[in-house]
Amino acid sequence: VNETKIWDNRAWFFVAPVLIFVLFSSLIPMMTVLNYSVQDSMGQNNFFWNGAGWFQNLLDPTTEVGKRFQGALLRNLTFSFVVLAIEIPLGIAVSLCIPKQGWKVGAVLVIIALPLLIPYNVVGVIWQLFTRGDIGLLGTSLRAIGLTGFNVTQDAASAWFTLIIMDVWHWTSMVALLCYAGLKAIPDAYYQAARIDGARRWAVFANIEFPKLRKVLIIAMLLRFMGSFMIYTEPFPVTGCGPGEATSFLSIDLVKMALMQVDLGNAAAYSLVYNLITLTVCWIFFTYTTHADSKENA
Amino acid sequence: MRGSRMRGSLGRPLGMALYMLFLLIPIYWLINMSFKTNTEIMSGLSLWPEHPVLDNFRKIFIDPDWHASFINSISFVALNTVVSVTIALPAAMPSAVTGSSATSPCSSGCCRI
Repeated sequence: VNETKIWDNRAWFFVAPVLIFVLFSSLIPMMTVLNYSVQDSMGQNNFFWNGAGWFQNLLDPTTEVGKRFQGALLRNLTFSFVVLAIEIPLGIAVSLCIPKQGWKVGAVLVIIALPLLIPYNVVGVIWQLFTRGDIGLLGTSLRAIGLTGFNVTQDAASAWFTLIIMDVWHWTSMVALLCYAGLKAIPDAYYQAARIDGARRWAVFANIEFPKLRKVLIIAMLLRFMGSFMIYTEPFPVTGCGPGEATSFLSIDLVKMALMQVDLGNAAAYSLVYNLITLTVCWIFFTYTTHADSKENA
Repeated sequence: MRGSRMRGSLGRPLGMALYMLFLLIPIYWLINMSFKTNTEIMSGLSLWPEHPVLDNFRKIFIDPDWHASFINSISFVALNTVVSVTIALPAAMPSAVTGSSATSPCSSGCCRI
């Protein structure tokens, strides 16, 4: 009668393959980077201890590498900030414009999801062709209406404009679809109550829809921040980090340092600091959401 | 009240139409170019191909350099799927076997909240 629960943990052996695989695919490469970041080499595979030297170098804006890192970081943060400031409000607006019923719902969802299904490099190629001043529709149109200086490869403002509009084009739909899912989850009773109170459209948005979208929006902001902060593929065919260094973001700069200049120590410190920034931001978002959740449930 | 409802009923489809236009124009431009010859593309702006050709598509599917990259991508995806599913699927075993007991990482952590 007195049943004792049998503890059988043999099923855990099934986790072993994934653990071993992750060890080889993530942990060992990561430790290699860590290894490079604290050592220096004179070639011939002879390494010696360099302590925190590479990190001090990287975080000191007076050094060459430090200046480069600071520049790329500021550009990347600016890019992420601008992109979020456009995509989040625009995504909310678009989600509110999605039809409520009928065949149009499906059609609209498919069309707005289209950019999300395009390979990143193709997105870059599309915008490179589209914004060219001689044969691109947008480039020639902008020149025709008087912006004769529009030139993605020569003019920094044009390059920035193109990259931002490209990211908005590529990812606003994701924010819109997330918000649409959030809006769908609002029970009809809220709208009925608003109707009884005679609430105007704006009041419905500000007091019902927006608060209910908060969680979804935090996820959308996290995803878009990460996406834009780690951006590499799309800008590359468009501006190739130019003109000069005007659109050289962290990932692009890092690849240049690690693979083209083979500056391993600096690149390793660069990677780790870059990684720590994304981890920190992720952690802040995570703690904020879990904290907000527990407050809501209490 | 009536006015705002009128504006709402017109504004939303209009907003959606503008957004979809924004999304589709670059894609249209890509499709437009894919039916042009390189000389036509470089010789100036035209909103649709004046002498539409399928040469570009023919080249992609016939030229071995081009279709090799498609085949590479497909093999990569196939291998990747097989390897990751084979490795990751057994990892679901402990939580499936032990159900909601505390030995499962999920029930001791995220799911209980």
